[in-house]
Amino acid sequence: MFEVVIPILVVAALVYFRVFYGYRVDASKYRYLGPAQVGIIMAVSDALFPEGGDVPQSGKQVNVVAYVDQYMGWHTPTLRTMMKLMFFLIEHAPLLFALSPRRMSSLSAAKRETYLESWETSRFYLRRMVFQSLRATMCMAYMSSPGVREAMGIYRPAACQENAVVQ
Amino acid sequence: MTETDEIYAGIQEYDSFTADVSESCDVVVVGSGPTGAVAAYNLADAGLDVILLEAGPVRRPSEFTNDGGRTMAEVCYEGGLRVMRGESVLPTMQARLLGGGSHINSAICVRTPDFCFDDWKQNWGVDTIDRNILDPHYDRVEAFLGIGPTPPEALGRKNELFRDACDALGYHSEPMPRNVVGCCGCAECFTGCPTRAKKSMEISYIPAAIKKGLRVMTSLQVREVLQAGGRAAGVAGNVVHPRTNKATHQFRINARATILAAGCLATPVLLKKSKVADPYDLIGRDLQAHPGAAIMGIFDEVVDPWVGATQGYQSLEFIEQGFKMEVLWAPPEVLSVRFPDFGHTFKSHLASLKHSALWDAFFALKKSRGRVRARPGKSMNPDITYRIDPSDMPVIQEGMATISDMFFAAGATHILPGINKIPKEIHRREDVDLIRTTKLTPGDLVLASTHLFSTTRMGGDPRNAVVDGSGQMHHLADCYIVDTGIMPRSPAVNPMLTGMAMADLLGQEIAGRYK
Repeated sequence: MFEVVIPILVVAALVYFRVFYGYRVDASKYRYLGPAQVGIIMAVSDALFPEGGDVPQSGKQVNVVAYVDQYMGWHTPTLRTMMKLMFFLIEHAPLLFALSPRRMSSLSAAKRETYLESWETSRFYLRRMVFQSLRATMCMAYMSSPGVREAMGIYRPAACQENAVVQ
Repeated sequence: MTETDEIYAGIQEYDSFTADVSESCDVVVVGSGPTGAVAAYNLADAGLDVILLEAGPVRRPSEFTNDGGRTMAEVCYEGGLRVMRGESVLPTMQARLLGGGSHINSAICVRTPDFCFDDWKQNWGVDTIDRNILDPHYDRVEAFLGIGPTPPEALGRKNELFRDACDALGYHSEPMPRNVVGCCGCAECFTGCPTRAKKSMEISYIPAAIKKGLRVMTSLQVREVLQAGGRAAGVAGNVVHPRTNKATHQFRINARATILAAGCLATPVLLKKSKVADPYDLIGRDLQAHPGAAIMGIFDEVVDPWVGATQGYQSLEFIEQGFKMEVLWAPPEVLSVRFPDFGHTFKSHLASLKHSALWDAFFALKKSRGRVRARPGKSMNPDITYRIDPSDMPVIQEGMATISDMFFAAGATHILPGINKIPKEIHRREDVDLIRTTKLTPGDLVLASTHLFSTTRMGGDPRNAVVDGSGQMHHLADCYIVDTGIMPRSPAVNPMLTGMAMADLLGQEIAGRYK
């Protein structure tokens, strides 16, 4: 009896700690995202949109996490679950694809970028698709910022602005 | 009262349904997109009592946003994340709002070439629709919507570069014919035309039909085609919340004739859920699509691709070889997915967007097919499979390579092909041949398709067609289909105009029968 139950409990505890423990972020202001998902999104955001560069704003500065939380609210519970599954996969797959016991969000910046790039360029179609979906979600969040759009030079032509029914 | 209030007067919306609904009419039309709206207009014009049903809500200009993600989530079925499954995943978007796809599309209106009608006639027994029969209906729709070529002042640099590229290579090209009047070229067709220059159905055919007596009910999700004695007797379903789609009341519309214009995906699901007779198992089979692939080119000059008509130029040079080329634009946040790399390099790509143009080719593939099935349970969303046949890959690769050649002919410094197995950037025209010669699979490409057809195709033989030449179902009298599902094969070009012209023709014929 004990030789079955104890290993199961140990594995369950390990899984629990790996999935839920150690995210030191406050997710209380978000409706759909828990601490783990907030940590994952912030980590991907740092890899894609660090501070500085040709578009100066960082993902953190434009609060991509808040947008993703809102974005999830626009979708059905089923799609929200799919999105959370996507975050989960990206976060925990270093075990499989980087042979690292660490979660994606706790990798160093350089290793995280290498790891994410392995999704982008994977020879496995589904991995590439998962990464593309992640990047799409992140880009929607980042570029919803008027500041980012302005930095990219995006504007509405004056003639359209004048004739717009609503601004 | 504002102009907008006037346009929407007479439309029943979600808040007005406080109890179960029961109505009767001569004809009920399911779906308020381009085909449903045109059919409803013709029926109302003939003096029939017509009810037009739309599952989605009315979207007013005050709700427009330039946020592409939000727009997709709010106005498209399945939050804009609907896909067709196969060896690869093809995104496909269908609008869920009054006006249907016309509200979010780029307003492209192109007549189907003659060779398609010849094919429909010779191979599918469609002898009630050909170019000569349809031309007067094309004329009527074009006149009604003010369809005309994109004017020079609305082109913007991305469209001009496409024209220049075609000129340099000796390809035919032309300004895109579109259902817009007074377009200023803000390239925001998808998120909601902010100047209302685009004559989408909710501000064109639908208000005109309301003036002729059409009744319009939104937020009504049809779940069943009612049947009695082998004939259609109307439809039933639920009043649904505009955002959550939660059912709040039931409705039933009794009608002498039922017209389905819910689209090539929703119509077969509705028929399957209604258990309509289908002795040859044809409904939902033989789905055809126009998978599209885009290439991004980067120029030294500033292009400002957000200036100029969304899709303002096209080339039909290779239409008989199986692909059409056109300028493409979409909300920048959607397009930025194409950029490779991370960090500051990724941000450099974002900053280069103002130097970029995006052109696409879409393909009328000979062998690739799919199928639409109903999902179990209460869901009315389709289960869609679509497989790109390996024998169709060469034409796809040729189309993508041709666009790449065009970019270099127009002076692009480099292109971003966005193709797995091909370098992220190509800087020399000679290297474009890699796109032609590399052994690629559908999974190596980023494809999408919003043009879908043939799931309830028209034809004279009940053994291989769902509707007859008048649009009436072979196995259910008084039930007609007028959406793109009845096209027996690809129309080779963007299907909206041909769909509307067919609906104009069929709408008049159906009106004659029930008057």
